[in-house]
Amino acid sequence: MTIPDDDSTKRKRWTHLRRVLERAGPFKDPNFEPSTELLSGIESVRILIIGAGGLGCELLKDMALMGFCRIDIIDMDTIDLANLNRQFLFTKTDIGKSKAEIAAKFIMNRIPNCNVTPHMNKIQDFDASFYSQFRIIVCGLDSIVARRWINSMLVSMLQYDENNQVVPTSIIPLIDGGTEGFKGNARVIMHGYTSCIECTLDLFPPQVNFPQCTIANNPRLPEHCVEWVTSILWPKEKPFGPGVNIDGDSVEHIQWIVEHATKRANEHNITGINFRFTQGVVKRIIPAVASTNAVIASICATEVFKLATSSVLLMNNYTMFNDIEGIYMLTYPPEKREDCPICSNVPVRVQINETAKFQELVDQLIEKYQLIAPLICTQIDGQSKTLYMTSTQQMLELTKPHLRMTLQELGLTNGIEMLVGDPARASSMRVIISLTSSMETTTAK
Amino acid sequence: MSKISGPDTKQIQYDRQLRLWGDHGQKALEAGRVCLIGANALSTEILKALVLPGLGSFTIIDHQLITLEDCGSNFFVHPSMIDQPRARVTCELLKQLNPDVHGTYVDKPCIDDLLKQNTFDFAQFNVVITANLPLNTLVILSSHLWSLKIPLLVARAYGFIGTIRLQVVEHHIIEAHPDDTIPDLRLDHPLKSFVNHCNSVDFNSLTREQHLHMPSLIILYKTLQQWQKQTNRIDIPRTRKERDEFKQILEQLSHHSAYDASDLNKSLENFDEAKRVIPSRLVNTTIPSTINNLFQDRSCLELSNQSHMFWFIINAMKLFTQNEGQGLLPVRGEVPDMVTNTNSYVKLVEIYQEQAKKDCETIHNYLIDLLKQHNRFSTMSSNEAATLHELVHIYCKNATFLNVMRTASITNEDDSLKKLIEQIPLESSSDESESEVSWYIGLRLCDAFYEKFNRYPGEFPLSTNDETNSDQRQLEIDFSDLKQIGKQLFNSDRQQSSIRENIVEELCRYGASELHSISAF
Repeated sequence: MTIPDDDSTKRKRWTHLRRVLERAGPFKDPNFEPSTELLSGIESVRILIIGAGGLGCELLKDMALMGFCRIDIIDMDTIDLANLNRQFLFTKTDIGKSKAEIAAKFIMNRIPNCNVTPHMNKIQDFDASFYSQFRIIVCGLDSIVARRWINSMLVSMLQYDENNQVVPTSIIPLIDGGTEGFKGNARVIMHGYTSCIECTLDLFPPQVNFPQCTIANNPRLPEHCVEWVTSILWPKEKPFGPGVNIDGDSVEHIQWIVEHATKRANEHNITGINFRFTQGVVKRIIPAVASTNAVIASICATEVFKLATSSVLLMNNYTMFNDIEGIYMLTYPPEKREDCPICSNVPVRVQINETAKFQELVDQLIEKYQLIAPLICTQIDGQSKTLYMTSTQQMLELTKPHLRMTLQELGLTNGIEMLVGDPARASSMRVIISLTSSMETTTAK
Repeated sequence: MSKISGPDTKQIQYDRQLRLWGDHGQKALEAGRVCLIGANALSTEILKALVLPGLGSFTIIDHQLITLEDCGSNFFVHPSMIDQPRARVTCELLKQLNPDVHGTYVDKPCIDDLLKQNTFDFAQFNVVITANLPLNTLVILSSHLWSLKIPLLVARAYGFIGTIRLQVVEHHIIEAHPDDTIPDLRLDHPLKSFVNHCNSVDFNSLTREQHLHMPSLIILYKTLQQWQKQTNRIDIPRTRKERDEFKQILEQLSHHSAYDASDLNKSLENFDEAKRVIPSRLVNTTIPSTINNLFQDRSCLELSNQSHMFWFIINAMKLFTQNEGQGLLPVRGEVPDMVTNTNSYVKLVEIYQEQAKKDCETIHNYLIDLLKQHNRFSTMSSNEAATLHELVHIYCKNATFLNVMRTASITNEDDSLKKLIEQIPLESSSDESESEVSWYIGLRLCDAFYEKFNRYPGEFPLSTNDETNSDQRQLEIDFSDLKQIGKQLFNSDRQQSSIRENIVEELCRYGASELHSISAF
């Protein structure tokens, strides 16, 4: 259904918004000029929402009701029963369908004249030409890798002037939200000015991993028993056929794991294993409720609104929220790292001993920059050379021997520049090697 | 091997939230009956967050019809339903979020008449929530709910500002599910069974294997025993010097004759762990002040036949601490993971769980006695009596975090507000120090404006053409009226200075706008 598109109807419909758009106040952004034009201004802004899950559904609703009507939404997932306690644009009859498509349909139905374009894709399916269409990008992602990827994509689209300063019009603001149970955070990123995702990687809590000897020999907690089944027993027994990996959503798989984990637990006088617990460990399930997502999404939506209208000053620039006990919020600007490998626009410099093996260099890069599966290339004598690549079996075989070779043998001289790519990056990182002689102490940091 | 059943539909659907508040919390939610007053953006967003996780039932009260303006802020209306009752439409659309939830609506008369007629039974609800309800109606409602002892949540979204206010006579906090708690291991008041177990360990005759796997808890206790002997003390190390002494003994214990050079190069995980956890293990076990307050609370001291079960259990717990507990709360029974072999760990868990069970049993017996004394036991249903043990167990596990919450009633708010203002230090006029109270005061002025003019400052129909001059003029008039009201309401100089003009101006700008994103928060 559409409703009349004339000015007068529009003006009446968005009365609530107009009060802050057509009137100035003491807390407005200095660039703000109240005007009747701002409402149509909002309508012309194209925004991208990444994720159509817990945060995505809330974001889509919020943006549509703050006057935005040219919205794209990306999500590669389909709808599950366990989503329905918070992803409210979906119902039981939508299970199995594309999240992005159903979300778009619901919103366009409920809020006429709002245009939502769904994309059932991974964010990596698109390139800079796609992302450059949008004025503002909002993320409701559930993975750190994905965040790092879009972060680096936006940085790769920045332009610099002759003083190596970011050209402000080339910035696409990134609003990022994340939640976990009753905790959440939201931030406004203006690359080149504020800290970026990579600058603040330490803010993400480390993943819990159990040591192998505990799993294999000294289980004490029910988690240890479950991990034993998933990492040791399953690969050994291949209960559902060779090459069949554990599917955390399969009731049969989980039941098999519960049965065998319970056996092990009983042997060691450990209790506490049941279906819900086991599935939680296998899928590394993070608890979630509608209310936290609503809060974080609304904060993000308000910032998008502010960015599009300058009606009020922006958040500066990272907010933490927690309502386990009462309501707790803290907003502060985390420091932008001058040596951030992504947003500082200077090549990374790595120091390494001249007699070191290539493996050592790779290890150093992985540890220091939290890489997942680096792809390393360089130019030697005008020829492009792939030093390390693990994405295909063939390339892995080909480049593995390089690890045992010394830097000298590979032709890596002092000052040479390498390009390092990674799943956590949309574009490669420039790394310049500084070779130190055995006399000097090499500090690996 | 019996077939392990998979979870049912509801357990899957609610899985992510069950991991936060458990089946017990979910049951409580499903028994919830909520009344929402107002069917605007704010109220429907609040209700959404209750309906999705499975609230039992709600009733929404609103006499107004849907307008086109509503469609610019409220998700639970649709332009095709303009001029239909707001309460009916929002109720319907909210129910679509979760068919398990029961919802009803009241679309006439308006809430003021409803309160005047006094025929509506608010006592059927556990909680009443208001969204942007005008102050004079709120005051009447809140005093009614206060006498019924029904909790009231007052929510407000006003431009970019939102407020939440809770009025509750008495609310009991039992299962708080807090984050990061300090484990209840009591090295300073060790369990007898724990001491016996430790005494059976002789550090001088351990094999290398046993030494490598000695649990950090036992290591720490052995160290403590030695330190106490050395210093002739019965408590735990307090000063820096004492802690260093403690660490030295710990260091000595980490040596073993069978360790060779390669062992010494690797670090001993259990001893490292022992060192690392000293701050959370070498603590004084006490009864938190919150619990002591509960024990001294009038409701605890004046226990009667009418008292809430909460106070009966508090009383039983108090009796325990005065007798078997020897000044301490019941043992929680949880032991954090530590680097060791399975048997050693399981043995420790058994020791603490055994004691926890005993303590719980004792408190349960005290409870039964108290209930009998006050003639409550015989009138209990067999179901209630059967679940008492389970209930006591929950209280015992959460003993450290039990609490009660009481708030002031809203009717006396103006006086409390004026008293609060007197206490605020006189600030300079720099806008650094905009305290939240200034916004609250500003909103109070807006309420006074509404009482006088039956609309909020800045809340008037905006012109639909480009003529903004008349809007601007009206805005200025409203602003000066608002300031005038401020002078009348808060007459002392101190109170006057607490009114921040920029805040008042901004609130005027908002005109009680319901911005969706603020309502959604």
